[in-house]
Amino acid sequence: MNTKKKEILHVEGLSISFRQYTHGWQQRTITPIKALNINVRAGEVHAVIGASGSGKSLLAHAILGILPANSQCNGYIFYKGQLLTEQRKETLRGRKIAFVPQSVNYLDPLMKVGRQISLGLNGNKKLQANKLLKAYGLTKIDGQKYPYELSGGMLRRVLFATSVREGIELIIADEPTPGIHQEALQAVLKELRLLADNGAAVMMITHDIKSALTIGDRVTVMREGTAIETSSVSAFSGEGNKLQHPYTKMLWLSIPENQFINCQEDQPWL
Amino acid sequence: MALVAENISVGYQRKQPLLKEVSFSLESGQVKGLYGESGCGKSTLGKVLANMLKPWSGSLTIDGQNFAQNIYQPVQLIYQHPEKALNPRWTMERSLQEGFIPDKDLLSKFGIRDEWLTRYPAEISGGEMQRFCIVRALGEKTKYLIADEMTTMLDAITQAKIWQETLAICKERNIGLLVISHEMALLRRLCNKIINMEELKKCSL
Amino acid sequence: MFNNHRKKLVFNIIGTALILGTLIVLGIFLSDESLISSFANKNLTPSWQHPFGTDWMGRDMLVRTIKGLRISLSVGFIGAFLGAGLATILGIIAGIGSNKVDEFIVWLVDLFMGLPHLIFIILISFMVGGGVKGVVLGVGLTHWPILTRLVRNEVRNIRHSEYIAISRNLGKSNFFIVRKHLLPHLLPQIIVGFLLLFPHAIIHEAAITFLGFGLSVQTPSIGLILSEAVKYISIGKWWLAVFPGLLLVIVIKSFDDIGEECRILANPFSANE
Repeated sequence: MNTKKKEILHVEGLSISFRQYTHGWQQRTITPIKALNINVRAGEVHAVIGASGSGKSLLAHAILGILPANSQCNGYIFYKGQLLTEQRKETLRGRKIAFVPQSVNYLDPLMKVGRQISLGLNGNKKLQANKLLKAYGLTKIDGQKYPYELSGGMLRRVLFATSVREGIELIIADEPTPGIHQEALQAVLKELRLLADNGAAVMMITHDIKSALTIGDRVTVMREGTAIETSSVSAFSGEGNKLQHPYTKMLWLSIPENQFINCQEDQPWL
Repeated sequence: MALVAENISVGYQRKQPLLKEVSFSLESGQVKGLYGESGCGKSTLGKVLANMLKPWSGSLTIDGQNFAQNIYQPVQLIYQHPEKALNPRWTMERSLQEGFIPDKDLLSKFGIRDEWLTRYPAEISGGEMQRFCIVRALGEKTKYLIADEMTTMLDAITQAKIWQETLAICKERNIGLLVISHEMALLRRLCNKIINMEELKKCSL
Repeated sequence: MFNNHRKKLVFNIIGTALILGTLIVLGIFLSDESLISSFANKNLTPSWQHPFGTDWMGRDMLVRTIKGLRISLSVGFIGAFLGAGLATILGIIAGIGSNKVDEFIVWLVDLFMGLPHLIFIILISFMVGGGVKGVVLGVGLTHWPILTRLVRNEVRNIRHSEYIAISRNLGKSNFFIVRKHLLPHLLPQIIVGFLLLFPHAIIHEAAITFLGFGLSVQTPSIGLILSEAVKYISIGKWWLAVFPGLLLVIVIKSFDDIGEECRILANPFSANE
């Protein structure tokens, strides 16, 4: 195991706050991400686990530079050792950094799937699109269909094909697992693992611990906007004694495969 | 005492039934599981059982009777996405008390804090919202509870705690509980009996 | 304070509303003294004593204009209210009704959308004998389609929401659901629709009165003032038409602005910027 993998993404002290209107014209500032530190190395699958509302998706949006207008960002994001400015985000997005979104609604319902894959490609678009289709187990005929004609699992693979292509160094997959068949789920996970094995840095955002542990190398647990622990996947075993933070340990023990309710006996609501 | 659905046929597109003459029953005090992959029709069956989706054909009876209108229904359904099950313009307190006024004891069992009552859905987390939805569904008249992927979007700790309290209440009140999920491990921990949706659909042919 | 865009919008709305309100109040309370015919004062050009000049009967134009404005606004208000009310009812019926009912109402909307407003307002007004009744009915019965479609779409959107289904399951009647879930959701849209309808109503009233199919001399709205003033323009009495016309345009623009600002506030997408 190569422990000296190169760091592709390095996030330090990231804080994201939003100004929102509450009632009438009262404004308040909410800070869903506070002082977040995380890094992703080439060749690894780094899973980011957290409850919905812990700010995981915002992390992805910050790296891609697609945060909404009323947000404010503090802290540093480094890509391959260099500061990731908004300008740099724009050049890297789509070329070196790929984003596989959570929802299949990101696909244009009025455009044939094959065409959507070919968007943004250089050179012979059709040829490359067909190559990508093949790489994800889809046929040329599938490429001629519209999103509504394909199953959930196939759509997930199309999402991959539209964003992950030659030259991608960092892949951010946002909740790639919910709502699809076991088969498609395994295919997606296998795909992410393969991409990492071929040298890309993969950041997988999910609340599904089991999937994360299947293909992950390291896991970062997020809670209320900050990373409370980063550990290797091997620590998630047995009674979770190798895990440092009590929250992480409790998370591990609470899954149905482990103690589930039995460890909740006298626990207060968190 | 049971919730019985017989020969249910229903679908979302004309002439394409998702469920064809499917029969299902849920007894009082039972914890039954319904397992299936997404798209197999388990949520659809759940809605039919909750009397919230009218089937094309077939019957649904509760303890031998038909369902009455305009009353707090004896079968309550909890959705997977709590933010959709709450009116975004109503305060949590108003939504909570829409069917009946829950007592403090029930609220504390689910860890619902006073300060959340004056907030709006957009201001609280998914786990907190779901707890409100569950309490709202646990009126005196509730005899059967259908949990459709109730904790799928929640983290493991919140999931375990919610099920701990839900199971306890259902046991205490002899409520028949149907757990719909695609996670076998979860169903095995919760249910006395698990039905596989695919097999259920095959049986009816 | 001005970082808060919402605050700015609200202040704008209040400011404009105050100005309009003042005009209306003035219209009610200004004495009719200046409206007594005084042939010694007839056809005076604008001066300090009579900022808007006087007309052929010696009546002060400023007072006449302000009072006329009040009448235009009242008639416009009732007409817009009728239109918005009709739209709300039809929209809700189409939204919660059966598919056949919905199809029928949508067909009606499409049918009426294509009709030229002015011609039909004139027709309706003529059929009921003109006057305030004619104008109000004319405006109300021609301006409901767009808002109806909006309301119907909104209702259709939330009709199948989970929280509505649950509300029913908790024992609530359809009446409760319409009143407590649907209407609060629709209200912002309806109010905005009404506010944007108002200027239309006023302009249409002015137009058909000008053409002779609307109000009569007993109800001297701006439209009427303008139609009377036309005869005198060719002989150089420009102030009889210009000032009332200008005030009408300013008032209508103000309502339109308020309506647009309310629309921006009410839209959850643009509301947080």
